[in-house]
Amino acid sequence: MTEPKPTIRPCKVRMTFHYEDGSYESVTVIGEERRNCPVSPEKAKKYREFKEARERAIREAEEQARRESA
Amino acid sequence: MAERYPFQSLKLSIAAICEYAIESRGRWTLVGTFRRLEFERFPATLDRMEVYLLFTDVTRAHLNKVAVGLHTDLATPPFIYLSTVASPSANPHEWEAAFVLHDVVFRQPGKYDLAVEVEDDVFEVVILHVREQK
Repeated sequence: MTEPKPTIRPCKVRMTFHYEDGSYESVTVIGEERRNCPVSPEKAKKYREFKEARERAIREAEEQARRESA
Repeated sequence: MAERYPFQSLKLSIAAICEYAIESRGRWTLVGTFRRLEFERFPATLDRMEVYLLFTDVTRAHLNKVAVGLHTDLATPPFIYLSTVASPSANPHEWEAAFVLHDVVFRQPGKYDLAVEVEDDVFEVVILHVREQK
């Protein structure tokens, strides 16, 4: 199977902003869609760190639940 | 979580994957929400899906770039990444956004990570289960 080509193209994103006074504002903004694009080393590090932190938090929660049920 | 600094006050109250997110007069209707997909064979293509997000306790400091990325595994780069910059006219306290993903190719079954990012930092991860139909 060949590796898919990186592509970048515009995309539309709909948003609604709600204000304290109960009013709102609905807008469509142009964003960017990136497919199969590489990321910077800094971004790759952020992904790895978040994954590790998430797995650590799950492990700790499971261990605490085990301790409490023992 | 300490990792979420400087977004301590920001909350992602809803992160939903659905077939359609429809907005009318400031109210959103989510149609066909799901966390699991089944396909007969792989690679499989999903024609369309939407990711709806509701952020609450928003402050001006939070409001700039928001993105969603679909990863085979969070430790690897996303194979689809949609990002945009918010542009409110004033300072909102709640913020909803809907991203449309077309022609999403799942190369194999497994647990996919949908990462929600704020200001280029991962804020939350939603798991999407993709299975082979028995």
